[in-house]
Amino acid sequence: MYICPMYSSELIKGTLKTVILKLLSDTKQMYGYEITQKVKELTDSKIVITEGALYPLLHQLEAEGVVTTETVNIGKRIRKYYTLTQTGNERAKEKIYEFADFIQTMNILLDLKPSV
Amino acid sequence: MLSLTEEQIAFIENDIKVRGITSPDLSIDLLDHICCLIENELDEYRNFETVYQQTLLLFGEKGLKEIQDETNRLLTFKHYYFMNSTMKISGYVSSMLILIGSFFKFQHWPGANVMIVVGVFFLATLFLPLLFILKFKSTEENNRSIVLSIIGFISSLLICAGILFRILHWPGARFMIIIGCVLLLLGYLPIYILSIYKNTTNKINATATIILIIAGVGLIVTESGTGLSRATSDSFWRGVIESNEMMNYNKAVNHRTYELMLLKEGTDTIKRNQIIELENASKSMMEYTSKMKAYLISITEGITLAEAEKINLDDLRSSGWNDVLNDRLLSDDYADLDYTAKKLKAKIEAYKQLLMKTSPEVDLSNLKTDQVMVYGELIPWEKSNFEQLPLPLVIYNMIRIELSLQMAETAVLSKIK
Repeated sequence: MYICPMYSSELIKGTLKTVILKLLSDTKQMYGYEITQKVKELTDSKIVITEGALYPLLHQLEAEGVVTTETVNIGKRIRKYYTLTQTGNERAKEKIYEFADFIQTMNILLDLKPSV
Repeated sequence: MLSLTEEQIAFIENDIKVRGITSPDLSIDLLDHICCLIENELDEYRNFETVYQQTLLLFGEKGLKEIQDETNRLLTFKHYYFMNSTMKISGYVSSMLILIGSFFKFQHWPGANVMIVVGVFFLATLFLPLLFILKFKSTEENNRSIVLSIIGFISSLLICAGILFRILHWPGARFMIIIGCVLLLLGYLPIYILSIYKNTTNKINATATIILIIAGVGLIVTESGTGLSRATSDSFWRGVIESNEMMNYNKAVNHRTYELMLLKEGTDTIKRNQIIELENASKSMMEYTSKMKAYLISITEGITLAEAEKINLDDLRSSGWNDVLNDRLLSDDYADLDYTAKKLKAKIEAYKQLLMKTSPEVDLSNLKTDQVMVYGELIPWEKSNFEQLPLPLVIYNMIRIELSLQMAETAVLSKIK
């Protein structure tokens, strides 16, 4: 019933890294546009990742050695695929665990009742 | 869904460059991303141009450039949190050290200078550079704010270094402090005031900053400073010169008296020896005080002792409150020096002993070296004569002491006769 086109940006900001790591750990390699589409599709357009948030983060993850890239020529343009490294996989697990734990805490804190 | 032609892709690639994306890595991502978006939207009914323009709207007001800026910020700011906390901690630690050090200095407790030096050192080497870097990175690419942070950084560094140099008694301190303050007042402040006129948020904060800067500069200037006004300083020096003339006159009179007394027929040997002993003791006492004056002039004026001995008091117009003077005369750190307030006091007491031995009934109350009552508080003789005084007053007090010594000498001489 409550369909939000987008959550507040503070909420998204804090979770974006976790979301990307999770997607990359499920699907071996993805390119930027694919990630935005996948998130849109999975969340029924409730979460839309902007390019302005996605690419800076991907480049930061690459600099930190969490992801590596592989380029594939598609006609005249190049497509860059992002893949998790070994540390990336561990980081993804940590982040997901941390977030799950956070949700549980928030459940208690905000006294949330399951909506279903 | 239609595929883009090679020309269209080349057009987008070029347009990305025109829009300010310089990182090849990012432009690969963006090109592919924009192509995907357009290909999704493109159909027989809409032409490439319209769809491309619509797609660009998705990137918001600041457009593609914003993505690159954000990427750079994230990449260069990997250590942001570490830098931020280091900055805060170093700021707290150094300001506490300076505060406690100043309190210690005020109370004349040991360790004050060490604390202040370490505090200012951390402030200049850790806090200020980090503050500058963080501020520089976080401001939008605005020419004014870049200039502002550079000027702010340089001037605060100069002031810090100046204070450090001053405490360590290294040369050039005053010059650095003055340049730093001028830069802050004439460079930083006008640009800062201009920038808050444009930006109405945080006006109270900004006003507080302006007042703090002005008050801070005022404090630093008074403290390091120009000291007495020209007129005050000149009148002090006039007093010094007149007292000095008086003293020289007394010296000549006493000298003549000794000569006459020794020439007088019928003076017995005991008296003769007394006279010679008094003359020699007085001479060495006055030699000590005049050497001490020359020494004090030499350290404040930055000249050699020989030059200071020859200097004409009339040419001296120095008015600065001089911490060096204060330290050398009173601090225990300099207890080994020949000319300190303590040593002067010891010499005067020894001289007084001799005078009393020569003539016990003479009133020597003006040669007292006990504690002095100042505003209901007992203060050691050394402090009452030399603490925190500018050069003309220190010299004036020296001559005043010399005059009382001469008066006592004259009084004793008259008794011998």
